[in-house]
Amino acid sequence: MEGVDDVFETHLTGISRKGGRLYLARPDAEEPIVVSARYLRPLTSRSEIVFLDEKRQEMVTVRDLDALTGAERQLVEKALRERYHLSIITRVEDVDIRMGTRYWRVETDRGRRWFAVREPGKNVAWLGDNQLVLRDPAGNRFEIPDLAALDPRSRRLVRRSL
Amino acid sequence: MKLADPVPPSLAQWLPSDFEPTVAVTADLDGEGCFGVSWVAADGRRVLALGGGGDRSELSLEDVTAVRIDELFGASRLVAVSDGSESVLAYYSRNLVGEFALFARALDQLREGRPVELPDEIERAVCGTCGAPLPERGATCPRCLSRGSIVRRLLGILEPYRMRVAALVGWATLAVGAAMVPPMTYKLIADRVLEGGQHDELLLWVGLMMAAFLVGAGSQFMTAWSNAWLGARVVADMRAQLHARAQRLRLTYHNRHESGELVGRVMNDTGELQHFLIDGVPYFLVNLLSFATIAVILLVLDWRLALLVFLPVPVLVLGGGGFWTLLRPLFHKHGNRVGRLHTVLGESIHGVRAVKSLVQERRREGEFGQANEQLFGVHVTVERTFQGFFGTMSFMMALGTVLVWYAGGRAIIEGVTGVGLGTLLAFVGYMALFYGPLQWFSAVLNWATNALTAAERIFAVIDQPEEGSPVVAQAAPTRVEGAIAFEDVRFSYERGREVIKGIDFSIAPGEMIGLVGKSGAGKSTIINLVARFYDPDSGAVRIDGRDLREMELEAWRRQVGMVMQQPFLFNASILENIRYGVPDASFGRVVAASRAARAHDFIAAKEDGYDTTVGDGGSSLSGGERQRVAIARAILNDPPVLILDEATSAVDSETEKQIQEAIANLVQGRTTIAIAHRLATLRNADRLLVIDEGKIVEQGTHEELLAIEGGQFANLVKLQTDINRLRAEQTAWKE
Repeated sequence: MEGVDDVFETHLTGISRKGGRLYLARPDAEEPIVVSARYLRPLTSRSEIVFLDEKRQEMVTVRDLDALTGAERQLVEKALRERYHLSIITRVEDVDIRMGTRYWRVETDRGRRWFAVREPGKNVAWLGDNQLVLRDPAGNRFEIPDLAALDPRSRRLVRRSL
Repeated sequence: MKLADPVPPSLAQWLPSDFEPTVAVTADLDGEGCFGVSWVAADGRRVLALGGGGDRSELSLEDVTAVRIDELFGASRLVAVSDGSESVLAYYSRNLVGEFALFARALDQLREGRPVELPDEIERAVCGTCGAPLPERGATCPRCLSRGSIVRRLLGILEPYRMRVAALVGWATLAVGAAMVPPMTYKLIADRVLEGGQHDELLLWVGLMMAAFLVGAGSQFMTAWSNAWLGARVVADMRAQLHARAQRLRLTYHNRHESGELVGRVMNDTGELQHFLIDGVPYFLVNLLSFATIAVILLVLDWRLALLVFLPVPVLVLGGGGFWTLLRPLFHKHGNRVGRLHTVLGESIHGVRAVKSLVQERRREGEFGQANEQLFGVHVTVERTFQGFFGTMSFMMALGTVLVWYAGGRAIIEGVTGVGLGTLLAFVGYMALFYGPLQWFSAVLNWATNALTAAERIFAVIDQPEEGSPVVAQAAPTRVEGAIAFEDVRFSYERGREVIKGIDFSIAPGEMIGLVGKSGAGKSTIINLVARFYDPDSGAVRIDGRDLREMELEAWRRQVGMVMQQPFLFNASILENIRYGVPDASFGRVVAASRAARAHDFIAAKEDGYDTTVGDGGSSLSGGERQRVAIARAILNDPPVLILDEATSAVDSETEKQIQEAIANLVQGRTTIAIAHRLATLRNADRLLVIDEGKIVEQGTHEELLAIEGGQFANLVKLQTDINRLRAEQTAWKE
């Protein structure tokens, strides 16, 4: 489809941060407005970033972080780091099945965690041949971005359990 | 509830000595969002947040202007706003949303100088005993659950049928006893008749053998006969209990669980249990008894040969255990892949129109093919594992037989005392009975694990609290006046996400109120609270001045008529559907109600009239027809309180007119709360409440609200008028 790539901005300025909140200055607004930065595809591709106002209306969407430069880019990076808390599993220590519930003991990039997964059909999302996201009953999510990159024991435990 | 987590030991050194918290909660993430510990607490004057490494922030409650919870991706944070700046008090995982929602509420109460009042119960995501994550918030921890208690409960179910159980045990014991006799007769025939020359005893021992076989066959048949009844009876009882409980579960339970899951529990789990109770338990008991008896007999016959028979036992037991350890994840995998195949197949069939219109048949074939092949792969592995195991086990047993024949044969040849041909034949006979059940013990134990899991899942539903457990159970009056009042009502479907944020209003008996607002504003939640599908987190809903929670639930529901956007009709005749709530209503009353509902004409015109079967979910009727049948049902029920939820959406103008007329007949003399997508349909309402983000933002008559310059209602009406004008123009242009 012609012009499809034009839907995202490739350059953005006017980002500032005050009192813990992110602001965006727009030519059509007198004052900078409070915005939150979010990925459009947080699971499959962390590239496009949308800026929503407090009413959750889209203000602007950029193609990726490269649309921002210098300090403004750092502010957005910080805001995204604060928002996205997907734990990346780096090692699977054990998977124990009790009464239909799988108990995973894992090491993640944010520390060790013990979580449960029920009904894998519903709570395990395969995003590719080797990428998957597990969701526990409380709604916490844990990603294995590349199953092939895990150690053999971890891989075996994952394959055996799913 | 007291939300007062003690300060974690690792942070205690940073706690000011003069700080005595009123509320406190421990978070499971640190300031960087890593798994760790932080602690946030408040006394009457300040709020204190402690993090790892001595991070400490302290704010005076006087300076805090608002407390906010930010839902992040995969976590949440508690933010205090003061003097235009924001301070993050804590990051926490989804495990703690309930605790932090309460903490935020407590902070608001402290800021306003009010005493801290929190609900009595909180459903935790982590087991308070062992710290394991729970399969569901507030659920019983499977890791802490004692298998013994489940077994005791299952045995408790058998209590009413104890005589039948006693008979079953009697028949099973007799069957074991009978099976012990034939090998002994082999010995007697060999020793006494063939070697001892007592030829006249042959008929005696063969007769005994025959009698034992007959008694064995008869008692086995009776065991199976008794057990078939008993197993099916127990499961039917559990199914009935489960269904009855499912009907009375709180809607929050149904919101959290898919209907298929409950159906699965009613059918599959009870089926699993039946399978185990009928085929597993008696087999296991009989074989256990038989195993022990034969072991004793063999030792008595000849302890040296007996030891040879016992030689493969550890291998068979350990091998069996290992085999099931290997097979269990394979079974789970198999189950998952069957589920996946069902999903793909279901989507292909239900979504066939979408697939065809998007020309994606090949893609669906590919997806089904992939799921099918995956199932094929695991199926082959399961079967091969099974066959490999049984082959190995058969060989181990054959090895025992070979050893006994060799050692027994040598003993006879060498004339070892006590070992004769009879003893050897008896050994061979008993060995088949001895080894046979051995390999199944571990299988049955695994079977038991599955059945206990199924029982636990069934009990988990049966043990769920019923809806509407009243504060003080009092019957509702025969007919309420219909005055409804909301007093500072707050409600959340999920702790931490309030959808009704302090609503106050009152409706006089016979008044018609319209609820207006955007999708997700909280309109449907308000009517859910009136129907008492849920109870408020705080505040009260009052009917004629009485707290709804003090009324008997069924008595109250009988006084509320509901006509929903997509009314549910049962797969029965129109007549049965109309009088579903009043089964003994006369046919005359049904027709009168149908006439008032503008349904009589279309029903009468149908070939089968009122006997027309409506199909699954009312599928043989049009949307407008279904709606009018539902209105007729509500009119027949004659409730003093009426709830209309988008009753005229998704129908054409002519049908809408008929439904409007039907509703006009219906609302007369009843307190009515109506939600309508088309605002013009609420013109007849006495008053309108405009709801936004869980609060009432405007209220008044249609005209009063229209007169508010820039008001939400005025904006919504303008928007709809513009859309209608646009549609009219488009229609005119096409024509």
